[in-house]
Amino acid sequence: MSEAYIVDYVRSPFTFAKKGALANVRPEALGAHVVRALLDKAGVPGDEIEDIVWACAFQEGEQGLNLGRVVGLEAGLPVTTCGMTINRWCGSALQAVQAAAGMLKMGAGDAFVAGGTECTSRVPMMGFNLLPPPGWTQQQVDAYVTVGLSAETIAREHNISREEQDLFAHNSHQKALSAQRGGRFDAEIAPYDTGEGVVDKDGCIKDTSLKKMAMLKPAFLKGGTVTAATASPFTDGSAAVLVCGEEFLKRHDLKPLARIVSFAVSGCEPGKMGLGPIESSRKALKRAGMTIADMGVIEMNEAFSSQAEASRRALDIDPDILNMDGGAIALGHPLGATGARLVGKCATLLHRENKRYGLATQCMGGGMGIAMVLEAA
Amino acid sequence: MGRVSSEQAGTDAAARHDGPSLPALLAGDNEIAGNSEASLRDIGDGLALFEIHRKMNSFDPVVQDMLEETLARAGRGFRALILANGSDRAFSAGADLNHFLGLIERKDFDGLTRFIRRGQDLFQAMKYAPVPVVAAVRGVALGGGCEFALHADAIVADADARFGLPEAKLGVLPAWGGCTQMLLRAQAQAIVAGPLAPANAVFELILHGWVSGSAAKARDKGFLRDGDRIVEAGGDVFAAAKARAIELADDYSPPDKPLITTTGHSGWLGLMQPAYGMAYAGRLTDTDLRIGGAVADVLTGGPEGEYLWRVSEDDLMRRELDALVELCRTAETRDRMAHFLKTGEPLHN
Repeated sequence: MSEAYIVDYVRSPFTFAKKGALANVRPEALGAHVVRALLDKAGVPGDEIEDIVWACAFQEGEQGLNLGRVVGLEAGLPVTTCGMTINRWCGSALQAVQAAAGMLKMGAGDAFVAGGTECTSRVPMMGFNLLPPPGWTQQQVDAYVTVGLSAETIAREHNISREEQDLFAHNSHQKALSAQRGGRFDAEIAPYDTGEGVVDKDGCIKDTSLKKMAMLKPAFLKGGTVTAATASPFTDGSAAVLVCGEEFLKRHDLKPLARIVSFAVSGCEPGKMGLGPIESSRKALKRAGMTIADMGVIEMNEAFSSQAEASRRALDIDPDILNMDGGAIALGHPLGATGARLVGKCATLLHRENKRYGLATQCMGGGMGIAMVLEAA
Repeated sequence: MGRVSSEQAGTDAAARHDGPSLPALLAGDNEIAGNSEASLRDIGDGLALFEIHRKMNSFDPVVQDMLEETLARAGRGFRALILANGSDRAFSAGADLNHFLGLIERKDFDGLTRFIRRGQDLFQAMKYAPVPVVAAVRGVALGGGCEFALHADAIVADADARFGLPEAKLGVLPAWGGCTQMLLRAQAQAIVAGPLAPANAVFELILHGWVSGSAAKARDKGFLRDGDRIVEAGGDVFAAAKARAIELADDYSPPDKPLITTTGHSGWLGLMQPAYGMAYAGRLTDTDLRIGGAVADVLTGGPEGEYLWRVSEDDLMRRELDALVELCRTAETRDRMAHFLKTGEPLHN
């Protein structure tokens, strides 16, 4: 049985939905762009790819035609390369990486592109036709759908103050700004030519101040503490990683970034979905035979400051190794793409920071967590 | 919501059409029937003109009497009907709020039911009349006035005309077929398709009492359809409406009665979710939610409705009526309407 490796990682710039530079780009175009860029960067021919394992959280309209297959065709891959689309909401692309690794480990292929796309400008969060089970109460719908309320619940129950949330978000922006100015995103971003200009930088990062952030009104709950600044913004973006087995690496003389060590998902109360990383990370670490102290790099999604900080505290994560180049509050959170960014980022950071083990983890709407442990290869 | 490519009927088209001007016709000795509030006029070419002539051209039972008489004559004395009046401020501002509030304050809910039911019946009769009806809209077409225009076969609007269904701001919902006709328009013209997306667009318009700043904006939101026309500022709306009526009169047959796809309680939950989100954030009140819930009930076919059932206009309009009367029994609705009548401003209770 082959081990599964992360060989390379590419993403598009992440930009604001509606007002950002990628708002007019169709999802398959953005997805195909990162797939082509990934294969070019890795130097792997498209006909060697078994499957495009793609992620998208709102598979409706333009994103509803089995996006993974459309992305593969649009990327110019041969028709013999297959394509699928996975949905685990915000964690879809991390799940896509695992799905590729799982197929690889059972011998069902030795090279996969895993990643995802979310063009929130074009298919909004919750889609155009929100149709929950008719037997649900309003409270059940709130818990499942209105994730801002879950951020409030977690802030309240875990005593994450408004100031602490603002500070967490401010740090995220400052780390991302520093990375952007230092050119530390350049290797991962594949610039996109919209026809009206080349977009080569993330669009959501802001050099804002705590003072300005403190002036914002609560976004989800009257008298609450979660604001637009402490929530990840609606974002357009796409990300992909190349997942390969040992034979494939040898055959193509590839040097991988990381080996996938373990993986886990977990469930929790839908109304506290932001706590998802806690149990899923514990399970993944246990399966790896490790503890959080063994991790040198951790990429945890920042859906909201409150849930990320509550999860950080519960898992006892050293802030210095968490989201070193900023997280989703600063970079944005294209739901279907974020998981691939976290895995790709974690794998590249292991090398940059010369660390052995890393963790990528996310909360997911509906009350779920997802986590993957990587080892530098 | 559907963006339709309405034809731009400019001053050229209007100027080409011969015949007396609207002021001359309204002053002329051409009344077929009339009462203190409205008139039916013979304007030649086999055309008739229905004119309201009262403050803001609002609807009260006396106007309804004249509309009933007008529709009873349709197809006998004239081959097309134009809805127009001499005001450049108001096509119609809707139901007469003094009459409306009086019914509420006297707790005359049977009288209110009759007033609303009669409005529905008359507008439906107009929609399915044997002759085409063209609304020549200048100024505001709001609430019941907007619903009046929505039941016409075609709308010819001045570029500055303002359309909207602001009933929620007065504590009620559009109940002269406004929810139903807007849903039909949205389903026919949706950019974003799907079982709920068109209803969602209509729901947002009605929940927030959206009023257009211009005819073009109203067209973008689905109030105007393909075949409706916008006349450039300064153009002759009446002449363009007359030309449109003559066009439609040849080989006219009334529209088929449509079936409307609904989504049941699942769709209700979907429509209401953003509204609840706004309420939690303090941006909507409990009264807003109650009105929103009633509108969502209509647009989804009600709590006992099922996903992808197809229902009639009558089914949905019965829901409009029942929901309106229920709302009118509440103190908050009465307060909203009374406050608006007194101050001209909406009450955020």
